[in-house]
Amino acid sequence: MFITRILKGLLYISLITLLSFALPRLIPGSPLFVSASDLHVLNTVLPEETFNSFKEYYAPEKPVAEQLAIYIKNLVRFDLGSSFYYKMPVAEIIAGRIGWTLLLSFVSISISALLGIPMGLNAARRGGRGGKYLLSCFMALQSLPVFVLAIVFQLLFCFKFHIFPSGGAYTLGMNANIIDLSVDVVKHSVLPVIILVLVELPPIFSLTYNVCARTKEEPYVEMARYFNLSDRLIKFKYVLKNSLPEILSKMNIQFLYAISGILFVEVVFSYPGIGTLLKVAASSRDYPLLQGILLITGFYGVVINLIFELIIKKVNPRF
Amino acid sequence: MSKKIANKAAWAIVITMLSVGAFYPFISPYNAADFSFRPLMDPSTAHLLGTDEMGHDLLSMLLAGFRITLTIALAAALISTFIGTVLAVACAYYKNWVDTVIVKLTELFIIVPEIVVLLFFAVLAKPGVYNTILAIALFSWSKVARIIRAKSITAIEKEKIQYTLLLKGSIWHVLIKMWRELYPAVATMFIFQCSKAAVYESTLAFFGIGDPLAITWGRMIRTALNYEGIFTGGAYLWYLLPPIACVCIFVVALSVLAYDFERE
Repeated sequence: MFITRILKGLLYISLITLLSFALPRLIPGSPLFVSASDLHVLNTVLPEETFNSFKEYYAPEKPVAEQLAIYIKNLVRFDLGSSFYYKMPVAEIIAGRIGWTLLLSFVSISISALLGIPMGLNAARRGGRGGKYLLSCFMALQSLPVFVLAIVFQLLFCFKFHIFPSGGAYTLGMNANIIDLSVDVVKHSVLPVIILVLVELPPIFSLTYNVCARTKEEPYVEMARYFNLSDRLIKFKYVLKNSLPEILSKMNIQFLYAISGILFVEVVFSYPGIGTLLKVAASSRDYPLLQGILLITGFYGVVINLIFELIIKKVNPRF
Repeated sequence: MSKKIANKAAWAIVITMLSVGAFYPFISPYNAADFSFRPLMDPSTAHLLGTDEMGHDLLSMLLAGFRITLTIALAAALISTFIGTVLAVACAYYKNWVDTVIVKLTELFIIVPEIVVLLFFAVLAKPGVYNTILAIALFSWSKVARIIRAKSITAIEKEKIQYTLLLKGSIWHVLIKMWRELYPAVATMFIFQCSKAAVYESTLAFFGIGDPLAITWGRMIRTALNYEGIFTGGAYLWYLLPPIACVCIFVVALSVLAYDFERE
């Protein structure tokens, strides 16, 4: 069972690799497109050294099959090429940034799960209109672009009321006292995390609400009510426990979606994670860096998927 | 009752926005590309939303943004809904390995966020409105395919469609026969895709990708944020907030419509 999961993960990783290999070669105007003229343009734009390392890494003059072989060989050695903008190996840049993104993603995901599941469960148990209203409010919130939400929050809480610092993950040039530093880091991450929770909470709430509302109507829950079991017991042992596998498997997808929200929130708050890197890469047309980010987000997705499948298996051996 | 009012309001908003997009040259006070005004003027009767740091009239830019943003949203949604629907019907029609491959592809777009692939594509391609539409359309069909696939798999079992399968067998005939069954779901997905495309477009523009000359709401948001004094004075009130409000109103109105369609 475990082996098939790993194989599935590998399949996705190789699909992502293929995508990242094929796209630059299929799109006219990109430096790796089959016509060599685009390469000359790049040659005139980039400094000699960067261009040479680019050419060495991708070997665009060789046949495509050979290029693919070289590409895969490089990836296996975690060699992602060298960034145009930073003039450093892409793998090193990403390794230096990914910690902040993981911090934001795990903190926001845990908070929204810990809030969203009980909220959905309670709303479903009570029934009535309250849950429905909350659901439609959340629907509207969910459809907004994340970066817009982030800009509005930044405007209000950083520039109008000066409650939180407006950007970065820590104050630059601070004396490194471990306690002060951690307080500083928390202070900088409060606003991004709040926005991320606002974005991640609605889907978790609505799916918990829907699944629990369905489980509540099951005959065994009805039966438990006839037995006069306590409300608490019914809520946790009967409704939640039986809904949890379905909730978790859908939550998996929501968390994979959440990564894009994290990237945008980072950009608005210039938080030094992958998102900010993505912005730099996109605006300076830094192909190797972009490709590295594409691969790393794919890898992140596959890992999250695996973790979730393991949790689901723990919670319910039937799946 | 309140649901009906919300639905009507959403229709009114969407139709108003579309007609503004179609007829903006008649109501726009100035030409949006004209930057001959004094830069950074506060709102006045001559310039209702003031001017930007280049000397463009902001209201004219906002109105011009209606056309390009909405065109991109509609065109991208149309193409992506079409791709998604055809792939979904292909799943139900061919079954076996075609189905497996398409399902795996849709799962791939759950694992790698669509917007990252889309950014990748848009950066590589030459900047321009058509490439923006193409980028959004090519990489945002996965949800359409997933949902329509479920519908088509049940629909293809219906007798009249099985009959078509026996008689002619081509996938296009099946698609046409199935259209009645699929129509509500496809319409819902189209509305949903419109709002998603508008969000993606503004995100791309926010990242500085896309046609540098096309005036869209996303580009206005980005230039507003790039202007250093945006938060120190009151400039954000008439420079940053109007395009943000336009994107939000459009997207929320569409999601209300999609939600109502879904329940019918």
